[in-house]
Amino acid sequence: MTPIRFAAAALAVLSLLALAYLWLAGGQGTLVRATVLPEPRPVSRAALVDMHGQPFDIGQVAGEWQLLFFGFANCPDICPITLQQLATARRRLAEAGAAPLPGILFISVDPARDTPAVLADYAGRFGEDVIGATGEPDALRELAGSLGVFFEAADDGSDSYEVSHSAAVLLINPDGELHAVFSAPQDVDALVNDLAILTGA
Amino acid sequence: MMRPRLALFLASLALSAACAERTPDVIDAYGYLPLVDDGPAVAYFMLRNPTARRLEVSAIACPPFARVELHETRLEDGVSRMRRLGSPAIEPGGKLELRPGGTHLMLMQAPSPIEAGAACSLAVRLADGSVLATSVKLSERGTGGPGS
Repeated sequence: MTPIRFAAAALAVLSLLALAYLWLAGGQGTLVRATVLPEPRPVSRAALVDMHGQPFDIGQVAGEWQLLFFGFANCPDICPITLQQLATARRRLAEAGAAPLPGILFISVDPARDTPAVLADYAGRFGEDVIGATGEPDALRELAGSLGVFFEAADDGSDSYEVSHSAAVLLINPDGELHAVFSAPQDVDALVNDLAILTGA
Repeated sequence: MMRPRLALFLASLALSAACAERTPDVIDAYGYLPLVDDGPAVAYFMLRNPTARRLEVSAIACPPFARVELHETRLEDGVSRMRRLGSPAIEPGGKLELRPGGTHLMLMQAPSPIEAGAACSLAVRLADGSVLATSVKLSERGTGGPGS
């Protein structure tokens, strides 16, 4: 074999190997933001109430991927921004033909102000499929504790008090376990990329 | 040779331009309506200080909202916390930038519900007594606006 023919054959083999690699890697991509837990973590089935006033726990949405975010409806900045980003990411996945789509679950840590009626109005502003829920403080603490989420209401005596809370978005797998965490601040492109990979959409 | 009147006119134009460049202003103001009844609306803007002196915000009003507060959202170890800002200072050549996820203006206690597309009248009073005013159009979340 002449050197030229050898080089051409080698190049052809390398090209085939590269194509095979790209084919195998295609659709898997690389996570850019999500932190995947080494082992999915069980999540509390603490008894909450949903935005229709019905009993609710995380187990009720098992069978689907869920994006979980803790916040409060009087939060003017980070909560609506994050929910809007989640809704946008979900819409972009839908437009790309992704299936199944993750649900969006908003847990209010301000049950004193966020009644089911308030939650229904609030959650509905981010999409028909967004679920709002809240609960008694003990139940909220149990759920949050199982997810490593922090929240604390400022006791300033006013009716416009603030609530500090973890700003991460949590991905719950169809078995109702904590699967991955998106640390704040969120980025829609990263959410779309990582959710497509993690949910196999 | 340039006529004296023309020279005087051009000099006054140059002087006006120089003065105009050195005036603080408020630009890019926009806001969002409350998401719940009696909840806070929010507004964002940028205050530019092209002057050679340090400016200090002494008060902010935005009628028809009766109560207006400047807040800052901070992420501390993954936890979102808000704190009220008192009288922020803007250094010479600096700016005070309000943007989603950061410093923002909370607008509360409107006398009646505000329709989408309505505006409030932002007036930022500085410690030297001057007032920077502009109109802030309030949109619904998700319907446009630079921060949506």
